[in-house]
Amino acid sequence: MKDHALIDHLASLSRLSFEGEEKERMAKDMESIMKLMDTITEVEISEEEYPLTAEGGMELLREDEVHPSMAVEDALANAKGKLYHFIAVQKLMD
Amino acid sequence: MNLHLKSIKELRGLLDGGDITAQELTQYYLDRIEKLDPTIKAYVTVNEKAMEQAEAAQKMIEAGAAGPLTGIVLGIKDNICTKGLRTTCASKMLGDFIPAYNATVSEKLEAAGAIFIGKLNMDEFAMGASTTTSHFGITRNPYDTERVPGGSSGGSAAAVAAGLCVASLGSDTGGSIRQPAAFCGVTGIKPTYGRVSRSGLVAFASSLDQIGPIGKSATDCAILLDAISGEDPLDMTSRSSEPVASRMGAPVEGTVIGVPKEFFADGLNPEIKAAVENAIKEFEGMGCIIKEVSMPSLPYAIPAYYLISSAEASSNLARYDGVRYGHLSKEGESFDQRLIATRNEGFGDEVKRRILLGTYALSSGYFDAYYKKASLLRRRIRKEYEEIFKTCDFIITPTTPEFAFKIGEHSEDPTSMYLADIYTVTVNIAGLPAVSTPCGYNAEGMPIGMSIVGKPFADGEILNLADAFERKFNYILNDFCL
Repeated sequence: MKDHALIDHLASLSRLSFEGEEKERMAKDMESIMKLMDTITEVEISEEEYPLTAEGGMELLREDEVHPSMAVEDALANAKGKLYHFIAVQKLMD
Repeated sequence: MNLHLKSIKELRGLLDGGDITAQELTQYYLDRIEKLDPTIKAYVTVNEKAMEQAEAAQKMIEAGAAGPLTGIVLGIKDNICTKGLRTTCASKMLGDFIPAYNATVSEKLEAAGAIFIGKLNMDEFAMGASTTTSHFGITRNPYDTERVPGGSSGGSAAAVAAGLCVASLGSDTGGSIRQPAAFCGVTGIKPTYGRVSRSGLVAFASSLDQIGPIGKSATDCAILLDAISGEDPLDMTSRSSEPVASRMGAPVEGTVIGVPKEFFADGLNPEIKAAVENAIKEFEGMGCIIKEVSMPSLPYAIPAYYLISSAEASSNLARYDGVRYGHLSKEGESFDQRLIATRNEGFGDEVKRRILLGTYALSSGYFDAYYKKASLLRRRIRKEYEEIFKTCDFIITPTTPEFAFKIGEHSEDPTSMYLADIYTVTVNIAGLPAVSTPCGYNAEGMPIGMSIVGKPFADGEILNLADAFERKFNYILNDFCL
């Protein structure tokens, strides 16, 4: 992945950013990783042979039942920004 | 009395017989941690309330209400939520996170009267095979402190091997219980996917993650596994299952063991190969039938595993925005700028690499070539296991291709670390149970592990086979245990 534009694009999708030396290092690492991942592109395998359908599980959905939930104070205990019973964040729009 | 060398059953007898109290056992381990953990560095957090738990456990014992784990001192991997006790996932991102609720496994163990002596170090977000990517420092192998303990549950394995807890919980997404168990000379089981609830386990790759025990023996693991197994309304993938501890001691004569030839090919250290082959001969001597089998897709297991797990990780880790919990950067004018700064500061390099890889595999134009191809290979690998299990009861393989490596090795090229997972990832891909148990030591005294893989929910059967071997195996204790 020598293409720094691709690193920037993936970083943007991932809500990360890389600059300078860190970007160089990440590009080098990702190039090596993709070389390993690319080995599966040589495999001949089809969806007809191995259908990608859901495997069970759906029948295990439980009924929607109301249960006591966590206290608001507990739910907010780890939030850095709090205002009354709400989480406070930076202004999202003007 | 060397209490740290005793099994859960032996300690149960001492506690119930009044020879020791739960408080004395807890203090014994706190003293060992204070003395030895500055070298091993297995613990991220030692539980200040452990003695309170011990007092409660002692009351249960005195009331005649003790179960198999009442008063038993356990270490918990630091990606398993413990109410009121810091759970960091070995990341700066969760460095000050104190869960408001217990993971289902923590809830079950607390109710059983177990004592949580502390939270154990790991690779950040369970991504790694060395416990060197932790934000809280490197854990060291008790057999050679210049070497890694394996990972990602390196703290869990090192703590058991050094006698810093009776047994521990780890989690296994691609080998993270079995590989450190092999490196540290202890026993660890990755249960069948669904046997143990994942509720409260910090998510890495949800279709692969499973919590499991690490102990000094298969019997200790079986006792702990029974305590944490079961269907849970908070995890729809969980299932009820038969207890496993009662299977210990069942005859193994006549069982058919498959030996996949691809696991013994180039790349396997000759001393490991010889030790596992000797173990197979031992089973033959017990009356087991040995059969060569094949898993042709093994060479593609590593890319398939890393693509699937990283894709799931990139989605699971999107939740870390610093808003509801976790690290929050002080940088950035806008919400988006602060979000990016928070993630840049909170995640380490390996986590960032996995997020990028997963995002790439799921992104438009690359999905079919990577994620979909990996998913198809997952089906093929499952099918190959199903074919083998038509004629075999168990499969035996080496757990790792190499011994515990020196700290710093494999740090230049991340793929060299990934390739070391070759013998463990297929079990997670197929959702099967597998136990790693010691089967030898190399010339330098470093432990060697072999893996016994079973059919879905045959966790008791594989532990029984491991137990049969362990009864004949000559253990070498590490310096920290002696």
